[in-house]
Amino acid sequence: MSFNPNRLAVKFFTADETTIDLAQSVTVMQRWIQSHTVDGLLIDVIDYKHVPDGPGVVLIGHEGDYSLDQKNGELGLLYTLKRDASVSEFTGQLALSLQRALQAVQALSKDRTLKKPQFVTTDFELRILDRRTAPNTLEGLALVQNAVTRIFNAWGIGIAGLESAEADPRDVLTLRITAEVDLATVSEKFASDTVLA
Amino acid sequence: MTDQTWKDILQDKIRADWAREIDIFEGQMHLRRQAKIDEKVFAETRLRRGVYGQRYDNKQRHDGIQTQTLDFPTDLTKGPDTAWDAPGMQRIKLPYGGLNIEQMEVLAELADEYADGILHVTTRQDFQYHYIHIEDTPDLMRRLAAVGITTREACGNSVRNTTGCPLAGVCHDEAFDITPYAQALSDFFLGHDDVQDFGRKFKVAFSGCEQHACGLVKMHDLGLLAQTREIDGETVRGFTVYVGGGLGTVPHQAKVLAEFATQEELFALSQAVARVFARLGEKKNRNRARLKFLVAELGIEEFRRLVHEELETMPHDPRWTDYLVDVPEHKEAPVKQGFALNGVPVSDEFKAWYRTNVYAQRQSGYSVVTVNLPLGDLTAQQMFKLADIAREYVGDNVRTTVEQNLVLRWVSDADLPAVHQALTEIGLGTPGAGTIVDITSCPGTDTCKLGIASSRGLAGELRNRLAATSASLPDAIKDLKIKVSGCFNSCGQHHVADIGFFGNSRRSGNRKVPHFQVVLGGQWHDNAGSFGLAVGAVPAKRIPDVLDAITNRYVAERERGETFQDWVTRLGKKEVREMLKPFTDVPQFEFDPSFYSDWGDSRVYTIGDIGVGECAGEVVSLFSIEISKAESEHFEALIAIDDGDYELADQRAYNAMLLAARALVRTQFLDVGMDADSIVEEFRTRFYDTKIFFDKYAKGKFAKYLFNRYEKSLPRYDVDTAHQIADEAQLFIEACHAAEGRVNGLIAS
Repeated sequence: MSFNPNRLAVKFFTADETTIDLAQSVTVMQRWIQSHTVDGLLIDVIDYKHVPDGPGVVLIGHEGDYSLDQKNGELGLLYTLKRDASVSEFTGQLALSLQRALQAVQALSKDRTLKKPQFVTTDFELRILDRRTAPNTLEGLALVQNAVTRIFNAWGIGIAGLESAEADPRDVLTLRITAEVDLATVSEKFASDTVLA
Repeated sequence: MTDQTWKDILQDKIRADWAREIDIFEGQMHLRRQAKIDEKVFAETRLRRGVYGQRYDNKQRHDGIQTQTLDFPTDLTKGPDTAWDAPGMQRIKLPYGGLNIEQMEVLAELADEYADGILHVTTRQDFQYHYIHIEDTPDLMRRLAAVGITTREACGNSVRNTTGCPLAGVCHDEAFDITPYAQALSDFFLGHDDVQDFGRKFKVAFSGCEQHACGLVKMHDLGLLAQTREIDGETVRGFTVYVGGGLGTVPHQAKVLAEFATQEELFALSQAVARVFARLGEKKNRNRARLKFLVAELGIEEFRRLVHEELETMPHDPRWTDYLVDVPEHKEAPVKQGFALNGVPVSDEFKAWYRTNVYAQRQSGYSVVTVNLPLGDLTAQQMFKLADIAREYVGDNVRTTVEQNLVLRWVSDADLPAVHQALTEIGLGTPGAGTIVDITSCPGTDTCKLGIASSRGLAGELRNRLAATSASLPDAIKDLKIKVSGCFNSCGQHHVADIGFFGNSRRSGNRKVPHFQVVLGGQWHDNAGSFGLAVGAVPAKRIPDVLDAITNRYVAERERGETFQDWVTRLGKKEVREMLKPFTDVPQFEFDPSFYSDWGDSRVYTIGDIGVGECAGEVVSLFSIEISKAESEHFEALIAIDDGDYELADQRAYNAMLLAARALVRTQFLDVGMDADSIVEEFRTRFYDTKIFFDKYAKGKFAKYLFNRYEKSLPRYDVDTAHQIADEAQLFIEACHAAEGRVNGLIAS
């Protein structure tokens, strides 16, 4: 059975002591739309900073959304891949999501308005937003863990940690993945999987 | 993990008629992709499933510098000037706001998987998801249907969600619990033939009492206020029936249609109102098509006469009174015994919360807790945790409110501190529900095509400022209602606020500046007793100062016991305008560019993004809506042939012909039944015997396809017979289209 979730998301967390002014991030993301700073068809910016531990500020795109997400009180850059015809399998979806998330992280970390926030790019959170193909069960977890392990092996990137990060079975299957290297420095290893052959 | 689709997984969990409806919609989507359904017809059919457009779905968005074209992958549209791939909104109906735990959890799941992770409570007790892709909507609908929620007629020119007071059944002042009536009438109207041909939307509300706000019956198309009368020594339940209320651009107070309609009379009377509206309501001029205009134009006396005339000719429907059997069965059960709070030590935070968010039920030992949602929003994770709190403390006794909050009913008083703690841990323990801090807002320019200014941006800003000072706010203003709409259409209900704002714009030099019109003195209580008056427009960025000025002056000048509304009246419109004058100037862009962008939106402000609202789109004829069902059914026949199920293909093809015939009949006679005998008889009499159906060349040939199939089943079920009946059905449908066109003069005979 091929694993092809309807939607997935990748999150890189801010480094310790890093804070981001979410009100300012609205301005930054509006600028991203003006200048096409990040990939994808960019549509609008929506402000949810009034919602505790919520999506924060979201740049809505057609293929995917970029957000300064605060789920569980942990701030980070979340890229949610929704529908992108350029990738059809989990490998490509994961590669594309990582690539876009890293692109956004890079743009944020250079942004003077936001005081150049820093992110940790050895770790990331993977959410599978598709309870039909990957429910948050032991079986679902094994499926995704195996898939991620296979993919990272194919990329030649070692995994130091691969754990479930969401105990509530009702919530989406979520993994915390620690790579053996800084993913920002090895993104060329998964670049070729970001498009259909 | 499964290869099964959601349709497969849920097939035994969804009511057959609801499952069918969703399949039909999915079929219509497929037909739209093939350009076999007109985009206007498709737009109306999707609206009637609550599938709404959003801002920028015309593929244009001003980015603050220039208008950018949004190049979606396909050119396909889901309505006039509405890109198929553009993110949309899904509205979900909850009659009287009622929710159970299972529904809460599914609603949470869907927010993550199809939306932006947020659930939004509307001013009509619905939920809304934003940034939905239309391709996801059938599965979204199935997953909702599996837990008893429908999105049908959540939007479109039909009966919208039926609202009801969130304290129904536990209120000290109600005549009786309106809950079972609201549910029953909602069920009765859902998909009813007589609500398919309106020129605009139709809103229904129930209230258990007259003096409080909860039901807001006086601002609805059909408002039902519970009453009892002693008749022959018996207490008889009934309703004062109001009609023709509504906010919109120009608010109208509803008029009394009937002082007392018994519960036995309620449904028939409501249906008669709908029929008069369908028959006589305006359909060309969308701005005058609400029921309120018809009632105003006719006068209530004439409208009443027409309704009674309709009552006399309407075919009897046993459902008018069948529902009464279930009414006494309606009972809410607490999950815990009710005990008093009993002097247990509590924190100051609890006390503050208790003062505003807790309502003592009439049932001793129990309270209703209001969960204050910021701008009506909560995350999927908060909803899961709220479901846990409900499970532990109140069971399935949860409702949404028109103030965009949730209520937990039947909380044992002894559990209040624990509930407060649990809510606080998930970020939902904020005090101030129903107070000046609890500001209602429509989506505005965030997502609505009609939005002129950022209602949510302003509401968020005011909320933050007021929350920061709430502890020191004078008592006189603590309970004032503030409501914000993004435009004059009043989805934020600004007319019934003490202090209301609606978005507009003004020019400054060659630039536009977002403004809000200030509306003062609306009356929330007495069921939306009266409407406020617009007193002047102020730049959006000065509104917080205006609010301070108005409230400070009220506190300083009010006479003992004088309400805000009375004070505004005493002050007079002229003086109020004077009060606003210092705040109306707009500095030049070079001196303060912040005035030239809106709250929460850093772009330079423009009105170029305003589009055509789908609540005010073009009326699609009843025939178009109904024949599209026939086309969907025909499509299903073709699918069945592909699947090798020839008997099913025959059933679908035959049903397609019946639906097409019925669509044609209903252009002349609305009350044709759903059964084949009635449909064929009426079709034969009205269209075949009269030769209206005949065209110049084929004469009545295609009608014979229907008659033959009606008289005799297929001799066998195989690929040939299935193809033949499907082809005949297609030809019959086309002939119905042509006949309707000839009758309406659109096609030459």
